[in-house]
Amino acid sequence: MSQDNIADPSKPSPGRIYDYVLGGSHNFEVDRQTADQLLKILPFLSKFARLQRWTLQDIAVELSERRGYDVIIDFASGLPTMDHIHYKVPKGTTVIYSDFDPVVVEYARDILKDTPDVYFFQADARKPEELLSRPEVENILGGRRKVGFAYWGFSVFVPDEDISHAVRSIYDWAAPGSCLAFNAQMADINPEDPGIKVGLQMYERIGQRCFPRPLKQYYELLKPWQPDAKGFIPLLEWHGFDQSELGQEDVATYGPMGGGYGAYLIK
Amino acid sequence: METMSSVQSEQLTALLAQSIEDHRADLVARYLAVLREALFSSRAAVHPSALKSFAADEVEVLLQFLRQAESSATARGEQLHQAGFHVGAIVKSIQVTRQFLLGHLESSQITPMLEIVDAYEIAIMEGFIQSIDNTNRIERGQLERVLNALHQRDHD
Repeated sequence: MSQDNIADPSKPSPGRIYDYVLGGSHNFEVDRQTADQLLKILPFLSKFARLQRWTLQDIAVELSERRGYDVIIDFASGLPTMDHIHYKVPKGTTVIYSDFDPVVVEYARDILKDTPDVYFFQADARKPEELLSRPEVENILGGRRKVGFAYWGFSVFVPDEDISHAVRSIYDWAAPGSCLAFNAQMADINPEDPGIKVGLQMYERIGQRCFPRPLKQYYELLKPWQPDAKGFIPLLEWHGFDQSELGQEDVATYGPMGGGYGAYLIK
Repeated sequence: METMSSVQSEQLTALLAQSIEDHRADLVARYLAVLREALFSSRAAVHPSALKSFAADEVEVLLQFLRQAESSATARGEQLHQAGFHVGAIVKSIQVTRQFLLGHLESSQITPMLEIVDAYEIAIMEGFIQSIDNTNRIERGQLERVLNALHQRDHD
């Protein structure tokens, strides 16, 4: 993920572009201009982003209420707005958010104020061990390592070796029975599609390289985690939509399943 | 134009409420269709699984409004904004209300009905806009505090 521009409101930031695409207001004119250009080239992006975010809300409920985890640790969280994890979990669930961007961290802490059991740390999602070994985090967890994790909504920005390292490091830290909700973002998109090419170049211009890859490759990168019985589910299907949400051009660009998949990976 | 007496007005609102009760499922389905249509324009906080409940609540709020609880419509406008609905969803919902009631009234009742729906629309939009203003104020404050904190940190 890019380390450039993140605290600079005069340059577009991928995180703030995402916020704008989701209909948020924590973004600047420069982000909105870039996002509007991206949306012109890739109109499905706005649906794609919402599908991702709705799934994150489902994950919060699934991990806490159905699978019984009392701790959820989220990486590259972005702002903890009302569509985020801590709004969806039962009272008493510990939620640890993290983000690399110091502006996001400062903003997030202002939003959360003294919200009980919810914490926000500056941390690099490529190096989860740094977050997990922080004394403050260890203190919050009090030895709990059977945890629900979310690695959601940014994997296309992370190179292969960093994904492998990150998930392995979470695996090594976590107790057996832990669960990692993982988003295979933009999997199986068509990298030769002219819209995708321009979109990727735009991200590159703002200092953010993208690493689109086939779903099959994600399965390899995520070992030794094992997807649960359902495996990776297309996010369209996750929310009960069918391919009619995709135009013909969208299918050519994002593939027949819309390019986003989610799975619960188990240790 | 002749204005309605309060008795006539009460009779009309009672009639409207009855029509809504009699065709509640149809009205909920119509609200659901427009909320669904605006789903991808609304903020991501509006989860698809919540739409049915929002559509059912729309009917309840309308009934409460007809029972002279104007503030319920203003509060509803605020709630819809805070929930993340796009303004287009609100405008279309009100259109649905108008069209639904048009379909269930005698022609002589249409003008007073439109006045009632106008008042409903104003109350909803007032609430929605108030919520936008409040949110903007809160977010401006957040932005100022964040920039100050970062500025302070740079100078420490």
